[in-house]
Amino acid sequence: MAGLVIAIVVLLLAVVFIALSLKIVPQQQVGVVERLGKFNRLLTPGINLLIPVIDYVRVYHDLRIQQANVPPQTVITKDNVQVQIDTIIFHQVVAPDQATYGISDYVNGVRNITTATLRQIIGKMELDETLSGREKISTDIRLALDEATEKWGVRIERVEVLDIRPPVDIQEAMDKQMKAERNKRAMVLAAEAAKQDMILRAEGDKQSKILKAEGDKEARIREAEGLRQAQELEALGKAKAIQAVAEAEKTRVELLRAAGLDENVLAYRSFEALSEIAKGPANKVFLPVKAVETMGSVGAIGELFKPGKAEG
Amino acid sequence: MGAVWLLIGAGLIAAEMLTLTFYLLWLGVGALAASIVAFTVPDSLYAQLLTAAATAFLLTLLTKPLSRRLRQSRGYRDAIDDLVGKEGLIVEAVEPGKAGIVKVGGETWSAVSEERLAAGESVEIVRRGTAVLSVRKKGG
Repeated sequence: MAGLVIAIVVLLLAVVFIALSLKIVPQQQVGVVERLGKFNRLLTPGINLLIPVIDYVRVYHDLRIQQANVPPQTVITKDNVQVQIDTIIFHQVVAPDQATYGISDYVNGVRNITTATLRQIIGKMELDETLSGREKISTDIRLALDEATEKWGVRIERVEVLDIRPPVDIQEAMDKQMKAERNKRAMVLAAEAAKQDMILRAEGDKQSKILKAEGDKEARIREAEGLRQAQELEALGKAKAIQAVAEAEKTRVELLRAAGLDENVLAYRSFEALSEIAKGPANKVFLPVKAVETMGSVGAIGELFKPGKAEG
Repeated sequence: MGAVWLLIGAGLIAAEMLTLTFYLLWLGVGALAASIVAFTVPDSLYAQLLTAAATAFLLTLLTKPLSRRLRQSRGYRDAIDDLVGKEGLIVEAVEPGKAGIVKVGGETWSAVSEERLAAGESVEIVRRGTAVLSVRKKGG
């Protein structure tokens, strides 16, 4: 009977022993093992064997990137504006042993060091810089934080500024400034448009006048040219006509001469002409000397034409 | 008696499948071994209990080489474990005694170096501390 009790006790001990000595650690988790109170090793993912009672897992760390929200903080900028800043911190345990022994509560530590650093960095910047200078904030914060957390076994992956809110009255003032700025731009644009409008109109006017004047000028030149040509042509025509008449006269005279009617015809013509002159309205007729001479011969002509004389 | 041991063993192994704690598995295997003893030596409960305890204990000790092999097998590797040897680009100048910023992949790290490194130089990562990298000029 005693043997049976001992056997049951041994079995129970075995059960407890096995339960205490086998540890399965999931991926991305690490246990910190202490052997009799001193740091011994890290429990890596997978199945692990511990010596019960002597080995003790103090803490498990999650190695994944974790997020810590920081409640909105009031921060004072260089130009003495209180802004509410909302941040979120991403951090990761990189050295589990240091995260266990280097700092008591790294989540809190990360939160506090981040807000303190942020306050310090923003305290050196003016309001406008903080609103636009996220890049600068993030580089500055990285250097300051990495220096602090180097011994903690925790790396602050990034600090994201979710929101920077200036106080309400400042925000109103900023709104007003923005509106004024836009109004100014609108007015400048309107004035510029008016100016351009006037310039364009004037230019159009000028051009239209110039074009008109040019048109007038050309029209007149063409007219004059036309007139000139017409006159030239007319003159030419007259000259030709005169020439033609002269030619015809010449031919006639030649023909007359050829026909033997020379002096006589001339005399006859002169006489005719004289009688034509005498018919004019003027009482006195001036005759050139040559004509008087001709007159003299007229008498002879008259005699010449007397039938009796001719026969006699 | 053997049937009882079988039942206990099956129950433990089923529980192991649900919980994945491993020690229930070893206890279940111990119970199965005890059932074999029970079928061969049906009278000695004493021997059966000791067999169960001994088998479970031995199997537990045998876990060590198994766990070692498991540990060497491929698991998830965090990107920050592979940083050493990688190439980075200096963003903020590094001066001896004063940390600068280096960009590795998409991440920014603080970096220290013994030499002066200007922004835009590419560097090689020599060592990774917790949050600060040691770098040197690439090829230097």
